[in-house]
Amino acid sequence: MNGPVLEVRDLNVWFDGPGGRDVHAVRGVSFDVRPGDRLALVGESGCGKTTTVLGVLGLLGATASVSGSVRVDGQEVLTGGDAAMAPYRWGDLSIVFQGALNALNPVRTVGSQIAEVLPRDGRVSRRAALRRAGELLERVGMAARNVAFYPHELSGGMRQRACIAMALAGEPRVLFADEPTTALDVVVQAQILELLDRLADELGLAIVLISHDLGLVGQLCDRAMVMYAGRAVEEGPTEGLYTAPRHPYTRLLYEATPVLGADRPLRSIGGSPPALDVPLAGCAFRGRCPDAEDRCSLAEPALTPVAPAHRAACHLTGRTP
Amino acid sequence: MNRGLDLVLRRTAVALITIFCAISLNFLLFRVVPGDAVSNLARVPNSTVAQQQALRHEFGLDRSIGVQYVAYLRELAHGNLGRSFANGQPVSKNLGEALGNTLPMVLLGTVVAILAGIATGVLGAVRRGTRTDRALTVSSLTVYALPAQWVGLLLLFLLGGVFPSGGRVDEFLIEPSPWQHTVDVLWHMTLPSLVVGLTLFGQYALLTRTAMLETLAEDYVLTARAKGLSTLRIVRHHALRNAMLPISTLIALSLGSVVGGVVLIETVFSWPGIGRAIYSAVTSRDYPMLQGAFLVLTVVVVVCNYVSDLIYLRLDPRITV
Ligand SMILES: Nc1ncnc2c1ncn2[C@@H]1O[C@H](COP(=O)(O)OP(=O)(O)O)[C@@H](O)[C@H]1O
Ligand code: SF4
Ligand SMILES: [Mg+2]
Repeated sequence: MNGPVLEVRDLNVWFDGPGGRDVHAVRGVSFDVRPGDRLALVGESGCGKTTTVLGVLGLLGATASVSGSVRVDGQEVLTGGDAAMAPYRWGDLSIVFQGALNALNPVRTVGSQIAEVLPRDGRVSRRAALRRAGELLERVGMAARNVAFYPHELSGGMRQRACIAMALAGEPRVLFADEPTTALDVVVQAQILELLDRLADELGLAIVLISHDLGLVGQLCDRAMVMYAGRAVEEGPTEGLYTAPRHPYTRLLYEATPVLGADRPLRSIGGSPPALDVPLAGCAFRGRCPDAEDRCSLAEPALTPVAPAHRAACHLTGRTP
Repeated sequence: MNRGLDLVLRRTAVALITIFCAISLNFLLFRVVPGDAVSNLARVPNSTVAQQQALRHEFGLDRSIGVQYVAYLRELAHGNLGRSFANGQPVSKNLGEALGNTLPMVLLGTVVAILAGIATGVLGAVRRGTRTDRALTVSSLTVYALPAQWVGLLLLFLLGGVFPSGGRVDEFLIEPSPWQHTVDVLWHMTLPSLVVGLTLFGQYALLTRTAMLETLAEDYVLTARAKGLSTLRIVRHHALRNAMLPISTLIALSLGSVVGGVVLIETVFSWPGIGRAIYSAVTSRDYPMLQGAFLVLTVVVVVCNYVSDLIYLRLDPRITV
């Protein structure tokens, strides 16, 4: 059981654009998730984190085309359509979405939304299912009586906890969390991260955390993949990304992140990411890169090893040993 | 529970007050028109002034408007709406019969329209952008745009040979059994109900499609898909459940307007309902009947709105007033 639960290879996603100008939102992303892994996908808003996750889970709409390979336990699920992915939904791969308010159905109780995904061994009665839902709520630090509540009757932090309880209902092996703490205040943010940390330990859960905040992901994840313009530009141990970033974007992203107790000025990254509906020549980051050279506009750098378990996609780091 | 009861009481009070206002307006409306009942009486031509005075006195029309109003309310409380000029029967009896003929006919058509409209709208939204969707939308739009009486005439022309083209019962059926009678009435009801159904169907289908497209794009539907729920379950328990909020409001509101719109349909099909009662009351200047019919229609509209409020309350847990 030491093989990866999830193997993603060369994932590409295009969205239909007006006049055939398709948006190439995810460009050749690959990663593995092994049991108990804590992986982070990091990058500015719009860099393709959510699209990557939805593409892996087969949840993109009809306007998206996906290519590449996604394997769960070695079984290809991308090419088989919905039917291939169906057996792994929630039972193996589940997800907590950003903005818990709308991730929960506003006209149904929290309990019923948890209960509807409980594994049905034989005939589980409604009462038993709700009791189990209550236990799951207790597991995430809520009172069991919250099963009878509607989402609008809970605070933002409580809704996010309820979403996590719901994500646990299928007893998954990999939990995706897409910006689970965005729109929450700092104290609640820390509580949610702590909760995810504890659950991952207790349940042997692998976590894929998606966040725009490079500083935050280090609290939960030991490995991170930095994405820019739909691509992985650097991948390595979180500590290494903080102390020895090998891609200029990672460095600038970290400098733009407030870190508690760090006495340094905050610098935002100038400019904005490139449009993805035209083919990119050269490095996608060169328009904003302080280190750009002539060759950066000629060829797109490949993701190459720069240290053990650490890879970066920059012409300059490729040269440095 | 408490919140629900409180809201129901509030809405009930509002509905009762509205009905009381409608009753008062109904009283006033018929007093402020120039001339009173006696001078309008075409039935007593060449009457002398003295005769008219005597009539006024007999009907209490020479008393103050306040006294008349109280008398009106008192009689109304006893279910007395006066006597029809046309057939000398109590207005309440005439209206009761007419309403008893109209309501089943309208309800049959409405139920068919609701079921077909929601099914059509849901199918169109789920199959968005396909040929099925386009065909359904075009048909709904077409039906929606056609005037009711025109649809009625068209159906008469097309199906008049198959179904009875007018009336409520077959006058030549001798001593029918209750079963035969019911079948006969239903048989006669088919065409007018179909017209009611068709005129409502288009707007129900279009609104359902729009509302479903909106809810299908919500985050909680994405969550439901990630949970691996079946399409049927996602549509029924998540998307449609939320889409029913605007749909139920439209249904209740359209019911009120349909009961008013039956004048045309019932005239085309000689259906002895409230619509035709109004039509003949107008043509024969049957002033007590008209007043009674207006009252009934107003109450029906208020009741429909009241029911719509209650349904909304039941569907949406977020409502607090
Ligand atoms: N449904 C969609 N249709 C068209 N473009 C989309 C759609 N969803 C996302 N995109 C585009 O894909 C890119 C990546 O978006 P997203 O994955 O949401 O980024 P992130 O989650 O990193 O903020 C963005 O440029 C966004 O505009
Ligand atoms: S390849 Fe060139 S432009 Fe791109 S990040 Fe490296 S130095 Fe900057
Ligand atoms: Mg996102």
